[in-house]
Amino acid sequence: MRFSLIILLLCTVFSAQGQENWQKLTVVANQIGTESLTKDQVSKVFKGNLSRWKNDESVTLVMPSSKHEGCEIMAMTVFRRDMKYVKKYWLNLVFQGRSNPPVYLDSNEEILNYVSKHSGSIGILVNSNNNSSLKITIL
Amino acid sequence: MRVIQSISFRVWIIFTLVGLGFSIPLASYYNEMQFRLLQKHTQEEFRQNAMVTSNAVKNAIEQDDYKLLKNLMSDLNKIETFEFVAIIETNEDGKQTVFACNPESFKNKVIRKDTLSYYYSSKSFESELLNGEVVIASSKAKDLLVLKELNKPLIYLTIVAVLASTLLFGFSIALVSRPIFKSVEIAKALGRREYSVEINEMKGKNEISSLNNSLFLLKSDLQKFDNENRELLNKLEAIISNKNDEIDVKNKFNDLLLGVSRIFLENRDEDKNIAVLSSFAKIAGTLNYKYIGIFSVENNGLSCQYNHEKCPLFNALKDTQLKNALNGIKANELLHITRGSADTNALYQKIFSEITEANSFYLKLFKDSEDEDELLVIISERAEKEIYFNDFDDMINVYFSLYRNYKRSKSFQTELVNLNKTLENKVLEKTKINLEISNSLIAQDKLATIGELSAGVAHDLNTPLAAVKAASQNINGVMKLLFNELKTLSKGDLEFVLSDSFKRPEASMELGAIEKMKKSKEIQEFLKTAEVSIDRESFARNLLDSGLDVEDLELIQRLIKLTDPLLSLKIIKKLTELNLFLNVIDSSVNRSAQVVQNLSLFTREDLTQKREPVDIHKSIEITKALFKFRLTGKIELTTNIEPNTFILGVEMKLFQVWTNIVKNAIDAFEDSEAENKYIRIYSEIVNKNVLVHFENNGPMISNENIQRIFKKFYTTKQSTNGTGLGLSIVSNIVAEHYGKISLTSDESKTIFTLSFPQFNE
Repeated sequence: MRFSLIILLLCTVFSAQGQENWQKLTVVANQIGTESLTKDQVSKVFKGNLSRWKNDESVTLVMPSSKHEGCEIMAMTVFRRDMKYVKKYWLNLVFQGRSNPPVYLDSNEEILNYVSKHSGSIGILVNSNNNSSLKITIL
Repeated sequence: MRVIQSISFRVWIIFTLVGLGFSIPLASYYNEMQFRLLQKHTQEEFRQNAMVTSNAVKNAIEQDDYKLLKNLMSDLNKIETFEFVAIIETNEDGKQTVFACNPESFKNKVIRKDTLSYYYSSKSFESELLNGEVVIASSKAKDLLVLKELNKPLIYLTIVAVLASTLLFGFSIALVSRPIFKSVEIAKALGRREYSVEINEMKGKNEISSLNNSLFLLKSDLQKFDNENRELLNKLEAIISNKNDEIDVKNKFNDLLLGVSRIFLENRDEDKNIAVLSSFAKIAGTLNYKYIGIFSVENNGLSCQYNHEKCPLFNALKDTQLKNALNGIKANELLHITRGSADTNALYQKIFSEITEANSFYLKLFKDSEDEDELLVIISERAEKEIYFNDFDDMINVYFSLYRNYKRSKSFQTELVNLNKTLENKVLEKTKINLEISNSLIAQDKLATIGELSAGVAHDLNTPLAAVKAASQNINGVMKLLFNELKTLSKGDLEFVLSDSFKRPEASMELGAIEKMKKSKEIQEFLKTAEVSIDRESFARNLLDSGLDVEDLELIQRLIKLTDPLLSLKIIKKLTELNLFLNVIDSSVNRSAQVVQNLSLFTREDLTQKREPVDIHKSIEITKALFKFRLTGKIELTTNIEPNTFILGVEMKLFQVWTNIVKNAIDAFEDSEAENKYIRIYSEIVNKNVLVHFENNGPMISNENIQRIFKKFYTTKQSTNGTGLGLSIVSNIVAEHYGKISLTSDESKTIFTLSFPQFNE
């Protein structure tokens, strides 16, 4: 019981922390056929599980690189692991040819700029106050 | 078949075989080299790919740039021989795990390397995320596929080359071989003078066209030449045909002469009449084809022969008919017959109307210029039919020549028969003389043997005669004494003496001295016991000398009762001696008679010469007896002949055989220094033959002498001792008895062996 309570407590803590982290993230996208995505959908998209949007645009992922200050926040929020894991994850997928690799960019501006220029692309900004029209509402 | 024989085909075959012979090993070598190069290239390519991939992985990790890696993966998958690529992660504890594999299905083959199927290339790397190596595998099977693909042009090239050469061969056959074969056929046809073969002139200037055009010209030339030849041949045939009959007759005549000569030559040792008849037949046979009859007539009016069997002119004429027709006509008369005159026509009709049915015929008579005895008549059915009389003159001359030779040979033959008869008579006379000489020689030899034996015979006769002489002298002495003593004897004593004296046995004469003394004492003892008053010692001696003994008791008792017993006993003794001498004379006479009888057996003439069974044993024993004197003390003659061994023969002649052989053996010993000289005569029966062996240990006879010893007048003895006839006569006599004689001689002994057929009753 006690052990269950501890786990429950920890989950609650992490959940609260995850909840807090999601607030630091801003998801921007360009013509992906939707204005809002759930957190789970965002996670699935950035784990490479989706290759085409509903509007038949191919999915292009844009993520903070290792040089990006908020890369670890993004990794912990979306992948619930650290950035190393994310990189190995994507190395595995790309090596096996199972998915197109994401575009890693060093700053929020570069990410926003890239998304704005490429339709079907979706990017994650960390700690950005940007309210651009590309912003996707995370439900 | 013709294609196969063509040079084009052969060249094609040679080129194809040589091409294959070179290209197959070359292709194999090229393939091997290609494979090795491909392997090397593949390994090198994948080694670089592994390095690039390793760098790309490292770059992706460090630079966050996955684009290069993605492109690289995409490029790898496009490489044909590529099989899989993997990242092997090495943990801190050194354990290796497969981090990623593309395609994933090969994940299991990454760690457990299958080097039989794949080439593996790897490159290790280190990064902040993971350490390990990139491994790329390429398929060997796919390499071979690549090689196949690489070799495809070569195979296509080969096929193209073969097709090209075959096409070339086809062109060669069509453009070269076929026209040449056709030209050959045309040439052959022209050779056979077949001008129907078609040749068209060709316009080109190549070899085939030139050949064809040459044949075209040749055909026209040959045709022209042939036509000319044919014309010449026809002319020649016409000439030959014109001369044919003449040549035919000449040839026939030559053949005839040759045939007649051959017949005559081949029969030169026989009756020449055969040759004459044959030559006549030959002449007649030659004339037959011209319907010519032929016959010959001798001057005495008799026909010799004619060819009626073959010549239809005579039809079925018989010999008698011809003879009747020619009866009384002599050759000389016939010779003067000529047609036209009335006289001769009658004669002509008489003769020839009977022997031919022809109304008109030609007659030719031939006469031998050297001998007028014979005439040959030739009749031709048609007078206008020419006969080559010049040739026939020669032919007839040959015939007459043969006929003359025949008659000459007949006279020679008669002369030869007479000479033969004279010769035979002379030979008979000579043979008779020789036989007499031979018999005389045998008789001389026999007499010589008798002469040699006479000394022995004389000795044999002398001994009994001496005994007879001595016995008769003794008888004379004894008789004188007896006459005086008998006068003094009383009548009673005389009667006793005469009655008993000749009955005494001769045993006491043969008693030894000791035994005689013993018996004398016994008699004296008896006389003493009987109290007889006579000189007992003298009585006993005389008693024993008279052949009496103590056992003759009755006789002794009667003796002692006589008036003068001692005198009576002396007279008895004298009478006993007389008896003994008479016996000696008798036996001596018998012995002499036997000697004479033996000699007479040898010497008497057996005029009958009749063969009778002869006992070899008896015959040889008599021979032995005849030689007894010559052998005394020098040579031992022994015989061992089975009694009653008979052969069929003349005993006198056989005696001569035995004596000659024994005599020869004894003569041979004269020069011999051998000790224990012997002559052994023994016999045996072998295969119903009686073999008589005469063996002696005299000097050896050389092989040279053995060869000649049985020849007449051949002797090795001194000229005074031997006639050289003995063994020759022996040999002849043995042969007369169907026997055989042989001689073997070596240093130890010489053996004559005579073999005669055994006689069995």
